Amino acid sequence: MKNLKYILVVLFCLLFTAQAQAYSYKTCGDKKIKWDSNSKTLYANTTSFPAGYWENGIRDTVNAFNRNPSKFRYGIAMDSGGVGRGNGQSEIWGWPGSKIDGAPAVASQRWTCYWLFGYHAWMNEVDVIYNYDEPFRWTASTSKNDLIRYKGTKRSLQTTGAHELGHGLILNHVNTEYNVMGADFEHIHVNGSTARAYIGEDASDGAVYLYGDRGGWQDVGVVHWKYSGPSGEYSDHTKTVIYNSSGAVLPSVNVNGEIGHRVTRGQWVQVEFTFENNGSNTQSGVNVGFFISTNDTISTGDRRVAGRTLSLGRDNVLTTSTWVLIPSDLTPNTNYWIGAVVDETGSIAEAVEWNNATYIPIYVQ
Amino acid sequence: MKKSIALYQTVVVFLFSFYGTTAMSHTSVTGEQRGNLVELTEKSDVVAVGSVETVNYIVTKGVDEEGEIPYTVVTYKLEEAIRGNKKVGDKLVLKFVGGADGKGGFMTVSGVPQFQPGEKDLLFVKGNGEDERCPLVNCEYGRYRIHNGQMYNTHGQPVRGMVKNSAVARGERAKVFETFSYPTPSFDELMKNPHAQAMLTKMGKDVNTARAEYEKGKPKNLVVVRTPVAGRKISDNAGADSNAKGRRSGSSLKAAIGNNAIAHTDVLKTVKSLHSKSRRKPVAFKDANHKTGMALRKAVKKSPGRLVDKKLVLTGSKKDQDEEKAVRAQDGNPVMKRTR
Repeated sequence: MKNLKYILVVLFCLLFTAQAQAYSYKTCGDKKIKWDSNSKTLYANTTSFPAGYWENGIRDTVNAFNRNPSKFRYGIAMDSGGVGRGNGQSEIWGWPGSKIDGAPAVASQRWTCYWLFGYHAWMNEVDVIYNYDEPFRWTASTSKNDLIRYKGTKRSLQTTGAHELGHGLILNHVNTEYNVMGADFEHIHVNGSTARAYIGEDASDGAVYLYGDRGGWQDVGVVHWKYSGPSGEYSDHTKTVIYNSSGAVLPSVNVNGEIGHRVTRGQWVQVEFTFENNGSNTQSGVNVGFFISTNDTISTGDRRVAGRTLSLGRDNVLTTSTWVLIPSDLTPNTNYWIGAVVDETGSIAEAVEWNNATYIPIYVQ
Repeated sequence: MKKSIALYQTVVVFLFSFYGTTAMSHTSVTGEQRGNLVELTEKSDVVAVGSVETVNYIVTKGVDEEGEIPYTVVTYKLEEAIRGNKKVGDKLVLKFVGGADGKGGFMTVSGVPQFQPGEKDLLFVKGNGEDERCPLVNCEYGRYRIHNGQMYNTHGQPVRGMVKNSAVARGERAKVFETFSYPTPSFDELMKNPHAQAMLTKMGKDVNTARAEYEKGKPKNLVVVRTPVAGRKISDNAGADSNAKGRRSGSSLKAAIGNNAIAHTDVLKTVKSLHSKSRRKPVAFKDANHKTGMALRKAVKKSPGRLVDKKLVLTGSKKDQDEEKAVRAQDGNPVMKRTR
């Protein structure tokens, strides 16, 4: 009887786990299609990524992807030789848009699958090809002022690259959750003027499923983006918002070139942020502080106005709202920023700390 | 109506130039364009409904440094011919990059659709693929899937209504579209693959015995499954496709769409009407050659142009600047170290 209970509990957990994941991969026969080792070197072409700004950018892209709890890691080497699909090397380069049907970027995947008295399947090659023609204007900068959806007009080399490198693991598009395998240019961490690409909770979950957990890689984070719905097979994302006490979204207002919300001194509001666990283990009792800042850089040096604790597992991305009282002594008709700092006490030994704070702009009246 | 189409074309060009950089990763198409049958019809040289009769794979040597590139040659038999120089009963032959090399190797390219015999589709065709360009308008978005008389979008989501000449697809991908089959190679073809050869050697089997056992026991197809098929559920009414009024679903849109996939004939009726009002005469279509590979175009690697990191200029009060400097000094860690 005790065993039966145990089996039922295990079955329930498995069922729950299956429903939680959004990442998707491919199988051929009874085999997952994946690399046959935990590392793969990518050769970035030096014409497409010349030394300096662009080389740094493509290296940053690969590093961004590698910040995940799985055992898999991409390596990167610069290569001045030729590039091409199907040449046995996994490469990254830029082509005219006409060669890739005008898409911003594509991943060309080469894989093997056959049956020979049992199934055999593995990845052979992935080539990531950027479209270097108009209308795509790329930036390798980590300044949000350059980026679309912020104050700029350019698309991040790093976010799109992280998406394509996800295809390199044979992760498919996802349309059910905030995810780098959805709208990559709306999947980014920003605090202050710095915007950085990352692969996020769900793709991390997929990478761990396919390649195992490297162990001890802890990382929680918070962003001002959330899932807004499917766009075909991609997830569409939008910025998190602030609600009034009735749950209605507060009126939007331009705050230093970004969309913020109009709030009133002494008003109770619900501020919405998305929390992720991009690490190896579930984190319980994670302290989250909410702060009012006079700039868009949120830190624990700002004025703390609320706090809560969260349990963050690496399962579903958590978008949640928190009650915050707008202080009555703020200067009226002035821009402020409401921010969240996850793990505000610095209790978790994290591999990545820069993704622990973000903001929503407000105009206080 | 002609005026409104001209206005629409102007608007599309404007939106495309504005939103181009915000397209999803593997398509130049933005949310506003997806499912828009006006654009799809207007840009097509052939609009037709057909069933996939055969799928052949051809391997071509790539250009320059490229290795062998597999291509898919798909032949449809047409059941409805709405636009262009094709008639009911005609064949329609298209080529797409990617496919099987016949000895256990495969190439798939994100954003390029795949085809299996027996599938029935509504196609918006432009070109035949001989020149390496995807021969569908907006590539994968120029294909609608028909299953049991109902219409699904290219990704297998049910088309649940027509709103302002747009096919609005919402909800989960139908499970029938989660699997894809490639023909299993013959033993002798598979043995051209060095990995398979080595595997056989490792097994210590005699070639003739292995051939006989392989041909008797091999699966008919190699089935690739997009898995897991059950994930987090999405709201039935959520979606950014095809909403002629904007990207988000609204109450008016919800009222205009049903709960299930609509009949494919409802979509065809709209497409036929749009074709009758079209201003552009379609270019004569010529089938792709199903025996040859693609005429690959040479392409030079491109340089991204000169850009340098701008020096960060901190603004705001001294306190704000000090805070940003302090956070940057800690590599972005927002938890400030306490000093005595």
